[in-house]
Amino acid sequence: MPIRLLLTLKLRLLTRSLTAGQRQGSILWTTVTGGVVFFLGLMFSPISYLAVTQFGGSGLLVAFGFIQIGWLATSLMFGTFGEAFPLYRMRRYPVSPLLLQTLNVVAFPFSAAAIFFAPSLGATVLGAGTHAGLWAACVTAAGVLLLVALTGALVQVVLASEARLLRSDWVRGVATVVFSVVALLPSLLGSRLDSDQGTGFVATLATAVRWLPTASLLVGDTGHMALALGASALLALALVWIGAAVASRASLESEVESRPRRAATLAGDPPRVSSGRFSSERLSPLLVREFTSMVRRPSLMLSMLSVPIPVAWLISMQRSHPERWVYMAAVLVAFGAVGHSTNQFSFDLGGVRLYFLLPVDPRRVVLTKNVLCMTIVVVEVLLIVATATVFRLPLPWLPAILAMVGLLTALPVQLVIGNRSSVINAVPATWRMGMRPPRMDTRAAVAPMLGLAGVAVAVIAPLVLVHWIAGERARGIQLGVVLFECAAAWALWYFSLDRAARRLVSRREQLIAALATNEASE
Amino acid sequence: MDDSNPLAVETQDLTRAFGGYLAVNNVSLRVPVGSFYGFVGPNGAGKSTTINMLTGLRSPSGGSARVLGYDLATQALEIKRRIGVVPEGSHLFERLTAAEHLQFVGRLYGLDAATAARRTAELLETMGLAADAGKLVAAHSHGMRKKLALCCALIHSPSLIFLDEPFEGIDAVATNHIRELLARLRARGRTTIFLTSHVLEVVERLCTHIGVIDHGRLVAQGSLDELRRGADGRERSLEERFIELVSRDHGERPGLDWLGAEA
Repeated sequence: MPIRLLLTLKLRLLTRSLTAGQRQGSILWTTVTGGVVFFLGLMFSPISYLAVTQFGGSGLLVAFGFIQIGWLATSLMFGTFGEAFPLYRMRRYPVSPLLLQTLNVVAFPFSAAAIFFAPSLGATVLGAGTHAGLWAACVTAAGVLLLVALTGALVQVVLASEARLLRSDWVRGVATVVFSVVALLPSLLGSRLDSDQGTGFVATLATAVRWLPTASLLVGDTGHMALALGASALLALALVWIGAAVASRASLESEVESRPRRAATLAGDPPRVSSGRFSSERLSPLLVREFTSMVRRPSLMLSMLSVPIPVAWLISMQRSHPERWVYMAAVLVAFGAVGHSTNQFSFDLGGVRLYFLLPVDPRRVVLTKNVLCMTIVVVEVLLIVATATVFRLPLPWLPAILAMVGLLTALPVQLVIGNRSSVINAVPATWRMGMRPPRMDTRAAVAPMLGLAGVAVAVIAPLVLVHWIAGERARGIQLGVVLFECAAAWALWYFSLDRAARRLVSRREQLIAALATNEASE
Repeated sequence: MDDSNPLAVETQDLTRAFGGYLAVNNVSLRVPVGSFYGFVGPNGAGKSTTINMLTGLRSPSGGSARVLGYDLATQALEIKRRIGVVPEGSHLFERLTAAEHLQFVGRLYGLDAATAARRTAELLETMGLAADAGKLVAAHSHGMRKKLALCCALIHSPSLIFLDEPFEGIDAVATNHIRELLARLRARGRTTIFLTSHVLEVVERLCTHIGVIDHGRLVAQGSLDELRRGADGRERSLEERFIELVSRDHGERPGLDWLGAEA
């Protein structure tokens, strides 16, 4: 039986998922990466502990709910970090899908994501013990095991049928936005834990996560944990979900059979020849291509259009201090610009070869990519203003201008750094269920954040200094300083374009290798 | 080979190393203008690396090259304006439709909008892609992408076309279609075609000149007749001659006697 072989492969996949595929020093890298992930998980674990000790059963329900959602989200978004056996790929080998699926479920607790969530799960057990004694801790521990089994089964069900359920970019994009919104809720919860509204809020959240299989019968409990009953229900539900995991084999088979039919349907679509999209003499074909592709990239569009969500959250948190949310919104957009500017070729994939095969001036390529980033920032700023208008929040004009100029200072610096890391650290935008996260160059990945920190210091330090010397009346000087820095930053960007273009040409082989490697999966 | 003909591609000791491995080793190609040049060799021989260097995707580690009379190192943009390339693998922007992609490429080659649109429609019709012109490239099959890539390489009527394994992964009907198109181009004699392919039967039928590369070295080059005759003057098929040329260094191979025996 190939079980030993598969288990060895599974272990190797887990190790590789922690070492980003580096063979050399893998033990060291595994330990270091695993330690960092565990530490990050440890940082989040007090939230679970506080939820259970302060709110009892409802708190446990909410903690379980968020852990399960978070675990599902990370596992699905990163395809369980490449550790799971993708059934559709393994189908060509003489191995039973049932065996593969079972191994996937059994091995789920030994995954990279598990290292992150283990401290939070441990904290719920600890919290239950503190809140209601040893018996409660034991039963909660049993509940934790069931939660892990359920989540594992659920993830495998979704992964097995991902080609059907999550093939659409838009579906995946919307799912990401939903998960992001959910991710904001714990911080909101944390800010209200000490208030009088806390208990009611937790009860509301507990009701909201009622649909999760782990929640089941704990709902309705206001101060004590109905653990024995809950655990029995969880066990029953676990069996149902594990059954569903096994049944996903049928889903896989029908998926494989339905592929040719789908292809035939697509081929039969009526022709929709769009004429003249590139016909305007005034528009650069490169720019038009960038914008056409942009609006067809759900992940890009959704990340841009969902900016009002965190801004609304900022406004709700800082309603009484409008100048604070203005600055925080600027930081939010600047962070978003980091994401867009540091991987500007990611969506081009194999198409990136065309920049070097066609007679195109590489400076125009760089400029076009930068214009796209600028456009995204402008749209996000406009959306923020619209959100503030909807919330009827007065915009403090001077902080708003300062924040805007600060953002405009950060943007060109980010573009200078981003033009470099986009070439050196290109990551293909081919994320698919079951795929591992791409390899990253640590230095190139850290550089944009350091750049942003540098800009923040460069902008904030003179403002504080001027304020300290001249007080409130020195707003004009502050604005002048920031405007000067802004102009200097744009000059820096302008003069860096030639160098960026030369780098693009000289590093073309690495860029093509990085982006065109996954084209088979496209 | 007749050296009085002007050359579309001329390389001198072209070399490319990956670390310590010489993928292309002192290759000196001579491709006459108007010829249909078949560049053949076993897997990993260095065919794609050579094409990638000649089309500007890779930098040579050594040697020099002139393409259509322009120096590869200093006049790459001039070369790119005059050549068309169908590289190995996909090189298309997936979020454009086939029609948009062709128009985009046409505009970058300097065609005016009306000409680009007209040629786009004609090429898509010729390649049997008109019905899918409005479909995103991402939804195209491998064969459709290959055909679209060929359209992209032809839209500006280039003087030299590089085709890297154009028949790989496409069906017999599409292969026949492309073969006919290439034969028509060859008959006109104005365009030079540089083709790599594993299908020696196609190469023999289409090409006027052949270069054979093995382990990064050019082991033979000349007109099809010259190559088929070899040094002894005896006429052979291209396949026989190819096997003769590339199997010199491969020695005895295991017979795999266990195949078919009881497990």
